[in-house]
Amino acid sequence: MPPVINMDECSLCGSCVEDCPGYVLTMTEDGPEVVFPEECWHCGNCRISCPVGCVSYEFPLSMLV
Amino acid sequence: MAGESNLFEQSMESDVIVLGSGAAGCGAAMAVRSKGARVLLIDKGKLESSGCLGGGHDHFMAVLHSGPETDTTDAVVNFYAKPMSGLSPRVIEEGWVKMMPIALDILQDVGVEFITNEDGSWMRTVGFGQPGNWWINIKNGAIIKRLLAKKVRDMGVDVVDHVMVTKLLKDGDRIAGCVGFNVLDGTFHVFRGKKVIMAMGNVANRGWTNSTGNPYNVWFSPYNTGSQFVLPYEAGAKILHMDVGQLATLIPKGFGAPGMNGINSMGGHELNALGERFMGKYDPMWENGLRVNQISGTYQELIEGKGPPFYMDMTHLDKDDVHHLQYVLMPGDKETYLDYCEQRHIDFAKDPLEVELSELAFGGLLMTQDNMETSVNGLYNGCLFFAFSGSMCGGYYAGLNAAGAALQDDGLPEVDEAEIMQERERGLKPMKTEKGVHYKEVEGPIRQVMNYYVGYRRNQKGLETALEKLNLIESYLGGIKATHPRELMKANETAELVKIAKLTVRACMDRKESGRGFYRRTDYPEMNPDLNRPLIAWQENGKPKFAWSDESR
Repeated sequence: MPPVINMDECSLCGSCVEDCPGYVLTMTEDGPEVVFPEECWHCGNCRISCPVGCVSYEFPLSMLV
Repeated sequence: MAGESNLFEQSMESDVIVLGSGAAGCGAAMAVRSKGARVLLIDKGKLESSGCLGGGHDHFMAVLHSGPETDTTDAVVNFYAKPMSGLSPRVIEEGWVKMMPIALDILQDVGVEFITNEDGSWMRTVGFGQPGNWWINIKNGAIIKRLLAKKVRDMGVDVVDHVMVTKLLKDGDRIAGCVGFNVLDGTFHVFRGKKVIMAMGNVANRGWTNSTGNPYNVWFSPYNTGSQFVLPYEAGAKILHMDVGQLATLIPKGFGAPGMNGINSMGGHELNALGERFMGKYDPMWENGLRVNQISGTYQELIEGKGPPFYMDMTHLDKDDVHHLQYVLMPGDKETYLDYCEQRHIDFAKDPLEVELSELAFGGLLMTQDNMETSVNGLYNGCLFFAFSGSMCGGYYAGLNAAGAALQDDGLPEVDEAEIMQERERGLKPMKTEKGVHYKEVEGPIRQVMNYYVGYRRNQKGLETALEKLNLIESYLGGIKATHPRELMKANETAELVKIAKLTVRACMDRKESGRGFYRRTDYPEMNPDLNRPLIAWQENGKPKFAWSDESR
């Protein structure tokens, strides 16, 4: 489910968590986590806000059929 | 900063309070500041990403008086000032058309890039059955909200992010402020103001689903559950169009995204499963006709067995146009559009795009006077007009009017402490409920009812049955539990959804005709010329009341 954070590149700045209009992400000790993937509007705000470009989107099968 | 009030622990006051920080709210707040008044801008999201505009937008309606007779104020007034619209010629001219150049200046100033032709003129397209090419295309649509947000903050607007407003406060007949809670920490907040502007968006979701069954995978923002109507309704305001205001569109198959206006206006052809281009049967302007005709036409093809699948075919378009559509306009309307295309292997130039009828969405309009004030004294409407342009321009005009009136007022209206404490108790109750139901167990059945009984085809018995079941669902609201503030937000959204669903169903029961909205009544299949007017809804002693507007505009 969108979004997917590449933790190898993530700078742990928290921008994606802050800018998500649906409060889909949360910040954990290990970095941002997509806690409510099914409530994502795939608006792209987390990717726009990411300073290191580590956010991508993987749509679930239900959106591909 | 706005003044601090010591009435409650978390309390603020200002000249004007703007509810909703989307396009309309930004317009309203900037206008208030331009008049030198103080303004609070409140949203349950964050200014940089809130509202439908947070998801991007690819075009802006602007009439520019550039020569053709369709590029004039009169043309817009003639198109929108219809008996059904609830809009007067004066408010369309003053509140929308005259605000367009102001809004365009602001947008250009903050860095929104409008697309121009080789000769330097705006690249403009036609759409929605309109007579002229009123839409200026935008290049960097995905980041508009961030650009606007910076300007809003720089202008000295007092921005309150992360607060969900649950009730408007009144002092007698006059608006006095609002209350809500912070969705991150659960704290309760009281806001007092001389004027309040409703800018929370005319389209609410999560009442229905599309083929994916996911209520968040939708056309408009799924985080809007109807505050624009529920809050004023409960404060005694009159609301129009809860019946015919519902919306639907075509979406790319499985992808809740806007963009169909761009595809239609650039020359896309809609095809049914037989490969037939059929829209001419339903609208003389084919795909560029009214959206309601494209939706009802597609549904008609569907029940006649000529689809699904349905497609938008763009393979015949000029190579540059089709590239512009897929790689500039669509990602501007929805930032993740190209991810969807890549994962579904979509190429507009090579294959027709499969589309589907979208979920339905709740919609309506606050009854609004020419000065943008609603039927509640001091409560203004920032969401009177259509799309991004209408929202920003109408918001701006509401801001000018509200600020002007607020600056004439000496003092703040009084608020009722007992009423505030009562709402605090109600709004925060899920956090204190240990043994209860999860909000999803209540919200899900709302969609079950709406999808099943209140779809593209309806009848009286089905609507009555829906209302009975919504009443049952409503009886569960008091038992919802929340373990953290995010769930508290969801619990309050669920309550809003039940209320707007009930109001919608009741309104649809009164409109005993077909053909003015996206749905049809099988028991009243014809259009009734006597009902060519808005249905007004309001609350009296806790009960919904309905009346037909006799105002002919």
